[in-house]
Amino acid sequence: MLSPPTRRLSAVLLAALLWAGCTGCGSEPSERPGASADGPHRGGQVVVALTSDINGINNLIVPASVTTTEVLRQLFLPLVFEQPDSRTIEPALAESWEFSEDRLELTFHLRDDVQWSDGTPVTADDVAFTFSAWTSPEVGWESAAAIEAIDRVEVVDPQTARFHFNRAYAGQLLDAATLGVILPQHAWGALPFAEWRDGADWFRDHLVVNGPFNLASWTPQQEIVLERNPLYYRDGLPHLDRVVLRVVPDQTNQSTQLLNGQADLVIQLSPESAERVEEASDVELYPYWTRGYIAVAWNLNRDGLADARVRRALTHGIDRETLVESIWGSYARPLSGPIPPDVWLYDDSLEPLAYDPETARRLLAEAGWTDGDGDGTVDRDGRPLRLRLLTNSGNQQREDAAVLIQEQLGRIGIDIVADVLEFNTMIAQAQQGDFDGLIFGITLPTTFDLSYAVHTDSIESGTNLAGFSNPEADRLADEIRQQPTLEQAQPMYDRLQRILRDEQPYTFLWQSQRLVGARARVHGVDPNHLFTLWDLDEWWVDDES
Amino acid sequence: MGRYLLRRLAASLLLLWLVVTVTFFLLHAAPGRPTELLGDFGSRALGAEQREQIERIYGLDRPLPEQYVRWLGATLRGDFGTSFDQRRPAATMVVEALPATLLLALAATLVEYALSVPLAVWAVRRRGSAVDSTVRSVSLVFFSLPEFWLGVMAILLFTYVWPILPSSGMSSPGTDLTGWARVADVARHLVLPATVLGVSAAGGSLRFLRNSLLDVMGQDYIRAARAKGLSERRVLTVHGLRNAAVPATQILALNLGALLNGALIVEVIFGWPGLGQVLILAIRTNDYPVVLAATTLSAVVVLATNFAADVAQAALDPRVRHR
Repeated sequence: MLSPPTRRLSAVLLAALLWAGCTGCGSEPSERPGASADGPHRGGQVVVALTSDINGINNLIVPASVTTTEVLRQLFLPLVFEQPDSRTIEPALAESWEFSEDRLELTFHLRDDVQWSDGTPVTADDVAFTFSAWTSPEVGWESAAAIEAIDRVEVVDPQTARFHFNRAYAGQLLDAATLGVILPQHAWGALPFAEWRDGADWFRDHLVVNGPFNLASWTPQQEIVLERNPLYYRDGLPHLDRVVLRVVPDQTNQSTQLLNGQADLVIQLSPESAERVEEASDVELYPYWTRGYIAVAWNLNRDGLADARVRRALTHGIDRETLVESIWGSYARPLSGPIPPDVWLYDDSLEPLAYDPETARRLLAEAGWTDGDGDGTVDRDGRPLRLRLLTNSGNQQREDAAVLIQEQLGRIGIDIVADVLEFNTMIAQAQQGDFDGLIFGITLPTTFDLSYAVHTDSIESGTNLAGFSNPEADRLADEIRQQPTLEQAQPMYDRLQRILRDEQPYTFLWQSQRLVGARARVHGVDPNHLFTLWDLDEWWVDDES
Repeated sequence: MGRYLLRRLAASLLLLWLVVTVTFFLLHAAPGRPTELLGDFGSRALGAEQREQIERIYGLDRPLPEQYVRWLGATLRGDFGTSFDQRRPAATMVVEALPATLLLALAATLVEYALSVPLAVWAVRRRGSAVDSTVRSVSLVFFSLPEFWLGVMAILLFTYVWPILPSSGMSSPGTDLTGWARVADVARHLVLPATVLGVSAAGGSLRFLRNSLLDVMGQDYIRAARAKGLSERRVLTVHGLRNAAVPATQILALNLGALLNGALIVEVIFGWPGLGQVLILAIRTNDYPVVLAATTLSAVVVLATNFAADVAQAALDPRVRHR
């Protein structure tokens, strides 16, 4: 019987030898921690390992990184909380809301018991002030385009704010109430908008919050310490006294800290680390499906790829089941379209294109691509079908996918040249259309607006990477945007998914899980695709003993 | 001596200007623009008008030569601009991070020389023996070990197998220690990154010191010292090491540049909040002001150290200042 240090050392040596991935190593018996017998109670501290630091505490003047959004959510409240099911909305600052009959006015009734951390009440003036900041050209908020349909915000009375829209559409409530948090007019209104972009430190010095936690300290590139906000409106919450968010850029270091107890929660484990976490008895794995997916965009402006039969052949030639299994194990699933199966808009009646090399060869032959010279690569008019497949370095899963696709498509006679580039170089080549295929990752917008990938207008802005232009897809994308509710847009989504299945401008590869790991002493962890630190105010920890 | 110093100072300033100018133009020539990574998709995409607006705020709407002249003028006044990513003064971000990197580099240098000097002396005393060849092999191993691999192995061994040291950061989570308690806490966090960086650097300096010592030990004055009846230990440590120290000061100064480079990797692995982390993040997000401020400051540190080494060498060896 090996002693624990020796067993760990064996695991380390094995990890050193099989660095790219180690399945089945470690011999700790699997024993899932049970729920705490104590129940929720006040006190304690949780240490969270983050991959990167926050950009700042005013999200209007800094890029909205995932970490920044997660942390600011603990400091500031939005008007309402969007729920993970993407259909339900829960009250936050606003206890109720209603649309006018023509849906051009959206009125929010604010709670009267929410106050800023200096004791000043949160009022409709704060909402109007926030809207002024959102739309100020001097502030230059990067998400301002999303609220172009809001003309103005009217302060009806201290507890009532009314948004006036210039058109009705499905995402009105989300855009008005969840896109940004509400900011303190009495504290931040003192700085003219023209000086906001040079005043990041000023906002930190004049910080008041209305969320569950206050910012106790921020040491750049090291840690952010949040402490309980005693004036938080939810009685008895948060349970935790403090949350320490540590910047630990290296993923191996993160998982080691989780296993040795230096960190209580890690936001993103690698699949290899997740396997080790699943084997540990005092750590729990919380996987959840992200709304991000990985796909290959085929450049429709390139010879050969303009033909839908060739694109369908490419998809039939890629064995996504095997690809996903070998890269992710059980932590991802193959994807056949831009709407993942866990989203209610997914059309489950649609038969995805299966892995079928024979059909792929037949489609290629129909399009005029056959192996005339017997060299193993199909050709037409004397030119072989050779495609340059780009992806970015620093993402092992995408690099592995490029190699596997190269091997699989080689079997049906397509010569794939895999080219792994530095991220910015890849983006530049993608924008210039200098590629045949591009492996990319994208997060589905919470509004489910697919125009970024399918609309002709999005070719110029660079998000329709394939250069896909289809009049019916354009019309459907436009109609979806005009529907007052997503339920009414369902038939259009069904049709759009069918067009994408038939045309295959993109080969959708996989949807992966975000692998969150937490020590068993932490309770209430419930990460989802919106926020990993979801309901942080309700978390609690076992008493230290 | 005064003219020599002036000449060296002018050369250092010219080199500094070249470094920052080349960095400026390379940065702007590299693929990707700062605004490309902003915004969302679909209805939330960054519109062309908004992109232009943000580029105007960043000052990227002007012709490149004009941007360069403005940047150089501001830099000479001590204004390195505002970070695109954090909207904080770039100089503040860099200066905040510099002490951590310098502390790491200093500690790594101590580890490096604590390893390389005794091993070099030992190898020279046993020249040609199994000890000598072992030391040379060890130096080659040190030299060849990639810092990231060494770092990851150190983390697994000393924070997981034998959890005796912290694996990241510069202080314990959420603590606000003062005085000696803080010094001890920082020192504990410094052990692993400084050792990894120091061991990696020790390979090169060990080989250099050994060769330098061997060279010195063949000189006439060493023979004279031996002829006077001094012990071999005294000959080696007093006469040999002192004379071998002259080229070693140059290597020490040059090593600082290498240590700063190594710190880029080690800081990321160990979450050490230094210049390396700031620079890597800035490069990733095309945060021009921070990249330029960090490069300028690193160049100043390396050039100043080299200048100091030149001065020290001139003071130690009069032949140098008359060259």
